[in-house]
Amino acid sequence: MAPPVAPATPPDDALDGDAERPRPRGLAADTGQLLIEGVRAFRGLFDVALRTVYWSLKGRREKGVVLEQAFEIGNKSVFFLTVTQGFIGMILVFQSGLQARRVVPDLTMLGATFLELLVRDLAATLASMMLATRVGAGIAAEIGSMVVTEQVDALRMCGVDPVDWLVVPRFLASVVMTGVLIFYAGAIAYFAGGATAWAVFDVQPQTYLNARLLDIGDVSIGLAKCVAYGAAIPIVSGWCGLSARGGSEGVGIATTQAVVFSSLAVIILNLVISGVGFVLFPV
Amino acid sequence: MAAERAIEVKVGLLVLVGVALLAALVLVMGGIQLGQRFAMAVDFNNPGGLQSGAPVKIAGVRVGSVDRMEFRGAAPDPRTGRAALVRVHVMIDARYRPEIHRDAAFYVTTQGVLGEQFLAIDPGSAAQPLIDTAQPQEGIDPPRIDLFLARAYSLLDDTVTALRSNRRQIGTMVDDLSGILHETHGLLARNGSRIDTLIENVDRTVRDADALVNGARERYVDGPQIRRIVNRAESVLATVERDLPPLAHDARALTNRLNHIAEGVTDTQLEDLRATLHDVRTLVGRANSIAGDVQAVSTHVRSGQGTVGALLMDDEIYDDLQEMVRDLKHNPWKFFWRE
Repeated sequence: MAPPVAPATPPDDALDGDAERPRPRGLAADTGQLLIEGVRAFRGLFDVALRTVYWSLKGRREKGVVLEQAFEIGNKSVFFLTVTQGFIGMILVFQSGLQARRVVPDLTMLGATFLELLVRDLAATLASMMLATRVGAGIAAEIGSMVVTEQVDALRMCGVDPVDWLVVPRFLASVVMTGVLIFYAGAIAYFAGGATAWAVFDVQPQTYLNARLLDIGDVSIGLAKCVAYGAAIPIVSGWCGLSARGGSEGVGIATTQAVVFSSLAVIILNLVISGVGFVLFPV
Repeated sequence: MAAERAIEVKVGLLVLVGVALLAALVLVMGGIQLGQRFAMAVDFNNPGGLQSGAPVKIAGVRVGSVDRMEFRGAAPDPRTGRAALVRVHVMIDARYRPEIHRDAAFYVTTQGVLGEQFLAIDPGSAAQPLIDTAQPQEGIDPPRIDLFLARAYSLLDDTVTALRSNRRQIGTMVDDLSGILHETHGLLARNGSRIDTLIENVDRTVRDADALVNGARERYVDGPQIRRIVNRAESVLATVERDLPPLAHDARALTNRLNHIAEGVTDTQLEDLRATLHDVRTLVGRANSIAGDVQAVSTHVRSGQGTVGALLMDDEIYDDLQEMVRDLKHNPWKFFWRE
């Protein structure tokens, strides 16, 4: 069964490293070129996303491929997320405690508000930003290398969609493992913040461990962000890797773009989901 | 194969950790309820910032949580007769049931200055029976800080407006007040010594009055004379208290007898009694008249008038009679013969 949209070549217009094309002159021409390239890039990204979803539902994979990617994305990110989220949790609680203490010397709700903030937004967003740097860069570099070494062309010659072969296993693994890692990272940040609150502000653990402000809206928004970020990072990174051109320089550019665009995707999705969540579950 | 197996285990463990964290989050959010609980309802007109899931505490110890909040409107509850806008349904651990008595108080308070709001229960007196959990209880509304601030702001606004609209009068008043203070200062400066003397006199007067009061108390309150008077009064009262009941009993018996006698007198006897009294009155009048006549005769006799008067009051006649008696004693024959 053929995918709904299966371009023969990857979206090569998304890159700005095409030195052979004469650069247009004038502000209007530059703006027009930027707009056209943006539309083409978005169309390419949309195409990759659509084919990813399609092959996720219809495609077949070798045994262990998704598991291997889950190990790469999930288990190998545990230490990285433990360190980063631990420090972020400590810093957030320390700074917010300092600011709150300037207003009123009452930090009994520090844990409750921090937990709500983590579940609703920060745990998913910050962990996904970290994953975008590690996982997104890895996916883009791996796929980009295969593109510049013409392995992807070989796949096409064999009648295999590179999205099905390269992106979908990472997509499936990321959707699952990003959620798991976000839960784990949120817990690490929360308990690291609790230790900071206890050590710096004398907030007792019984007081800090307060889930009273959590409601179904917070958890729903947090879970939606987990799924959205877990899907966005491999799609955007895979698209960037498939867009790589040239040699190692192109792979580097694709890797950088993967980090930038994945982070940007996380931020934009955060804005959208938070807005929808605010309408559906007002604070 | 072994490496693949190891990867499966590691990935599986990480997924299990994530699922466990999610389950823990859901459990914590829903509130872990392991023991038996009982339901209660508390009515408030304005429970403030109390929300579902808020803790319920007795003496600072968490004993339950707010299950849900129901807006009832202004219609009175037929069971309680109260019109409370909000009914708070709470779930409390069953082991605290014997601690909540009928005079328990339910109020909304805050943990810390800006902390979370919770429902506090003052369990009441142990002498009272246990509270009826089926009956909605009346809660004490929290203080309305927002309302207080709004009214304080309105008051402040009115004050500022009044000050601005009466600026000239207030300036004049302040000037007058300043003049009064200045004059008072001059007056005090000019009469400093006299004021000192006045204060000393007042102080002396106060001390004298104090001594007077103490003396009066010793003499008229704590003195032996007052004590004796009081003792006597107590003795009199004791005597009266002892003798009054028999006296009252006798008086009551006498009254009863008189009533009995009065009830036994017939109308005919009453008419006879009246006639008798009339006769007695007539007799007394006549006796008075006779006594007047006797008194007139006596007066006449004492004045020596008339035969009896002359006989009794005239010394010459007395002497003649004495001489005649003596002569008759010596010459008895004169009874029969006249010279």
